[in-house]
Amino acid sequence: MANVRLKNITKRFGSVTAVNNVCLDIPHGKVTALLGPSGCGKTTILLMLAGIYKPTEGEIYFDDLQVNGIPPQLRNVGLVFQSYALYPHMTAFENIAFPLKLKKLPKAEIQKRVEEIAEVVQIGDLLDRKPGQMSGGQQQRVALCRALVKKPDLLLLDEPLSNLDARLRLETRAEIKRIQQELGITTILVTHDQVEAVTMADQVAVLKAGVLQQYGTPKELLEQPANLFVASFLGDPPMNLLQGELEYQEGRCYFRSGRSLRLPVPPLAAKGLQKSPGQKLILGIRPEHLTITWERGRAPWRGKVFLVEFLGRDKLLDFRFGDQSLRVLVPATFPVERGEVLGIEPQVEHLHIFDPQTGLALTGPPEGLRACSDHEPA
Amino acid sequence: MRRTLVKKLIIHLVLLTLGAAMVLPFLWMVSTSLKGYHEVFRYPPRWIPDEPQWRNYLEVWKLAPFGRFYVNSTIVAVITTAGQVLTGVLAAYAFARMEFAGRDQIFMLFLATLMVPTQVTLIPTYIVMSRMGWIDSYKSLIVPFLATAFSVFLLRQFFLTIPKELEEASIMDGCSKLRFIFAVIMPLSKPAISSVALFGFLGSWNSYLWPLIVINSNQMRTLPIGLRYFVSQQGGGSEWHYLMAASLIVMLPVLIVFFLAQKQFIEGIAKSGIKG
Ligand SMILES: Nc1ncnc2c1ncn2[C@@H]1O[C@H](COP(=O)(O)OP(=O)(O)O)[C@@H](O)[C@H]1O
Ligand SMILES: [Mg+2]
Repeated sequence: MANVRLKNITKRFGSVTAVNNVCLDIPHGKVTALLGPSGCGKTTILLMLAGIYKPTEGEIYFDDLQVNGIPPQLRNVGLVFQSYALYPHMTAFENIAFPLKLKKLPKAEIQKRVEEIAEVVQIGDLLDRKPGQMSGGQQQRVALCRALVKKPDLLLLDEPLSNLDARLRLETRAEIKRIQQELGITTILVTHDQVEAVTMADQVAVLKAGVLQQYGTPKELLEQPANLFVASFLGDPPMNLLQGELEYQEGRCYFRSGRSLRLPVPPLAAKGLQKSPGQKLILGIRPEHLTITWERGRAPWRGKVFLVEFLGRDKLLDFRFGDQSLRVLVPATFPVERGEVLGIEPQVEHLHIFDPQTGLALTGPPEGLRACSDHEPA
Repeated sequence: MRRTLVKKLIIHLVLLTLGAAMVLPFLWMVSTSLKGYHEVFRYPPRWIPDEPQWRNYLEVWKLAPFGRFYVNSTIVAVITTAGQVLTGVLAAYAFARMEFAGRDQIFMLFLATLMVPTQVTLIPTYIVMSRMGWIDSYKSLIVPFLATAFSVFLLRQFFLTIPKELEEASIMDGCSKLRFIFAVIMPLSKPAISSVALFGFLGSWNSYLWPLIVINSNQMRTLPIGLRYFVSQQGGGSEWHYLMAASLIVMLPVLIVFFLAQKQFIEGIAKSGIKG
């Protein structure tokens, strides 16, 4: 074990549908992130995998075994809670040893296994402390040990970095990744932070209001967002989204937004669009996929710099077209002043076009959509 | 700096005065218990007896079957306290954490019993005891008090503050509900449990009216009733020095329990103060 499979999982609490018909195939030995804003049902999915909640509808498979009716302690799953949920009256050692003690393992064996896992997670010097005497990061490591000491087939992490300060977050991110790779354990990680998901996970499932939006590798999600939500939720700084409509002139396709913005849509991006003039569209392009050109005359787009924002290594230029803004990422060393008029060149292959009604991407079907595979378990 | 010093001084003066007001009657008790029969009524009264009558404490044991009363009171109070804690913890857990139909209604009903004065239930309870044939036995002193709405209420409120994740974590660790209650909930609820135990113990130890009603034989009496031995039946002069000595003997365990529990309380508060 464990390839984990969620098949049409729905969970309702009274009238609230926390998770709505979610299908996911989670591959063995990889890190999978459940990403979405707060309240979108991530924790609920995690607790269903752990067996603490029962799905209202649908089935969960661990490999070919349907586990809906299997109680948590028999699923061999390790769970690290967002709040860590360490037993406050027990030392770190006792906390980690607790699951083994309940399994009635011999004392020496318990001692050995706790020390082993404490070694991997590097908390050997904390074993005598109680949770109240440890920092958030240390408590989290202890919680991780408690989850891992059972040698679970599946590790579930609920918002592992959310209670840590920024510096510790970077460190812990690398640390969790290291431990995961060292143990080769299938890991599912819940987060509302897209940077976390993208940096830590091999594949990411994006959720919104209990509905799966897209499932794919971080690269797929960034390069081929299936809809507006995914496009705007992932990426930092966020994707530019311009509202407008299509216009055809002399056989060429233009994207017009208000009176001041008319952008030629490169043929490549226009491919696959219904050629209906006046069709309302949303055009998306990431700030890093726009380049500034000095040859204003030949640049397809042109604008006046409205705001310059320093982001450390980069600079974010904000152009305004009517009430819409377009942000462009340039190196921090790029010489530019407020009010300058510059030419902007979009990287054609990175243009995204969305239907404003459905929010769905109209440019090329993303290959990432493989959430629900059709095959039945053998 | 200066002002905080003055402030501290005032606070301590007030505390000392109030403390003295509390302690004086007790000290008077100690003083009286060490006086002779005639010295008790001497005017003007004196704090220090001429010659401390330590033997008063021995006399008391001879004048009444105090040893037996002590055993009775201890058995009743200990079992009642243990029962109240056990039933309280289990019921409170159910009301705080388990989901079942009518849970909150049942709990309200439970609470409502707090509003019924004891006098109202005295006679019905007596009838129940008598039908069971339990009059004049430990059972009648213990069983009616094994569960109280107060302890259930207090513990439930405390359990509600224990995060639900702890229980979910224990489920992941393979812990049964009962095991979770004993291994996690109870150690975490020490302050609440020690208050419940303290109230239970004091209530049982000091109980007067109920034992007076259900106990007839000398053998089964508890300490508070035993004290009546030293109150003159004819309404003449009570033997105050014996009464005070006996009362002090009765109070001793309460004082000890209180000092022990006090340490528990402070520990509990200090622990929740540095919670992580
Ligand atoms: N035990 C519960 N009872 C009722 N509603 C719940 C419960 N758990 C979660 N919900 C609801 O389900 C939705 C999803 O919650 P959750 O899975 O915790 O979101 P997330 O972890 O993504 O922030 C929320 O609207 C939340 O209010
Ligand atoms: Mg959550």
